[in-house]
Amino acid sequence: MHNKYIFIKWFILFLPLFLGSCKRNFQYSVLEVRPYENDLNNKAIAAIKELTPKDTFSFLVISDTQIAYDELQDFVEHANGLSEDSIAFVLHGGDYTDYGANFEYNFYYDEIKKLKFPIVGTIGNHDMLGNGRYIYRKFLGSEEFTFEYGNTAFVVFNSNSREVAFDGSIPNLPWLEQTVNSLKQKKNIVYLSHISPQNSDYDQRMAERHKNIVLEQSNSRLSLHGHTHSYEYYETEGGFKYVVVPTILKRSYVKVDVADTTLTVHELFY
Amino acid sequence: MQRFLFFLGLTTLSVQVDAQQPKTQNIWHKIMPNNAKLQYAGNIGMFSVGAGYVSPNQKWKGDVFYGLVPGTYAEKPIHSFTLKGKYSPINRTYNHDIQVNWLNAGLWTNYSFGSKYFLKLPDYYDKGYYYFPTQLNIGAFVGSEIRYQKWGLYYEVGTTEKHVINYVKNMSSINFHQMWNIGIGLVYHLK
Repeated sequence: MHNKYIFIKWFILFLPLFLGSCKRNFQYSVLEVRPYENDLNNKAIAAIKELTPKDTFSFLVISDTQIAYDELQDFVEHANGLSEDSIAFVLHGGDYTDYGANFEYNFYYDEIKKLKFPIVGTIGNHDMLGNGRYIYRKFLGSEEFTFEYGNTAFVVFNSNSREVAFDGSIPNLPWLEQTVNSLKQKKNIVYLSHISPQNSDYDQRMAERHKNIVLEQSNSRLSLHGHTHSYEYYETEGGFKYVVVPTILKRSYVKVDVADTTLTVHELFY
Repeated sequence: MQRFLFFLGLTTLSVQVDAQQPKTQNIWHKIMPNNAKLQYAGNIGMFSVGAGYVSPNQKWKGDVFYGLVPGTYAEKPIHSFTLKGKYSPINRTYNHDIQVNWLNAGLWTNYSFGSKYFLKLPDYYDKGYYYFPTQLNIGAFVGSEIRYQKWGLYYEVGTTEKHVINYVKNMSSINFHQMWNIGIGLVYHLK
């Protein structure tokens, strides 16, 4: 006789079943800002500070991991098989996401949290879509920063000029100039930004000044980038290197060996 | 947006008019929605308010929603508009008061207002630089709905085209269930 309540009960029973079966059950919008973690770059830098600095060390660089979580998963497994004595940390060349979407940042985190090395990265053009730039600042942290390992300084910044319609705000060259001037006592400076100054998505009106800032420093060694998805290597007469790191989709990454002031770059596959 | 709210206000007003003259089948009664809804989550807003229409045979339903994601979960609050269509082939009535739509299967499209999102690629990009608009999202879902007298409850398990693309290309690292998320809603039946 209480038939009508049975169905209400059924309905109420049904709900938690679905709630339990789905992770991150309630998404508000593809454009929402609700990252699973925060400040990942600073956490990684804190971990790098804990390491014993060496003059001879190696680090790996991956890039453009957007919609390539299977390949990222395999990279993590591959890298975790490498010894901590041989590799100090990993860098990411940007484009964590394809749509700048919160759920993509979370998919990335699901894989990268298993990596045993600290990983520090820069913002990609796709990461600035929608509310992506705002999520990036929460999830990873500042777009411009430096960190150090032994005698080598790493200068990380945003070079995605096209995303701001070439309004002159990206890259932040006054910041870059001030920063490199404060790093004169370092043996090496390594730069990391998503789009290389040679690319048309980089504001070409700023390329000359960028080049001068970097090449005026005698300790500038290497400029690391992503974006084009293919490996590129270019060396100036003074021995300064520009390297474009291929997308992880190609199951490929870059390894950099640092021996005092000599940096050697290798393109590797897994 | 103000116009939309004004329209909603007008329709609500007409409901009261109709209540006083139930036998008058005037134009307001004809265009009046069958129900009013409040939805939580489901990728169309944290909270969405909407109005729904039902076909005479009860198998086809259409909803319009205004959705809000408050500033806590975005840089600025996200206001959006959603059109939802669904097919419910299995409808049962139990006693006189309880109706169950065992299956609602449907699609929605969601448009977010805001100058930092785009529908058409801004002209500082080359043609085809991005193949998708950030302003528009398309979703698909299945769910059920129960009605008790004037009130109803529903849930939807849904996904978006962007989730599907991510899942299809990464079936080993992304679990099937991670593609899906849930929306739940409350319905008040007007007629």
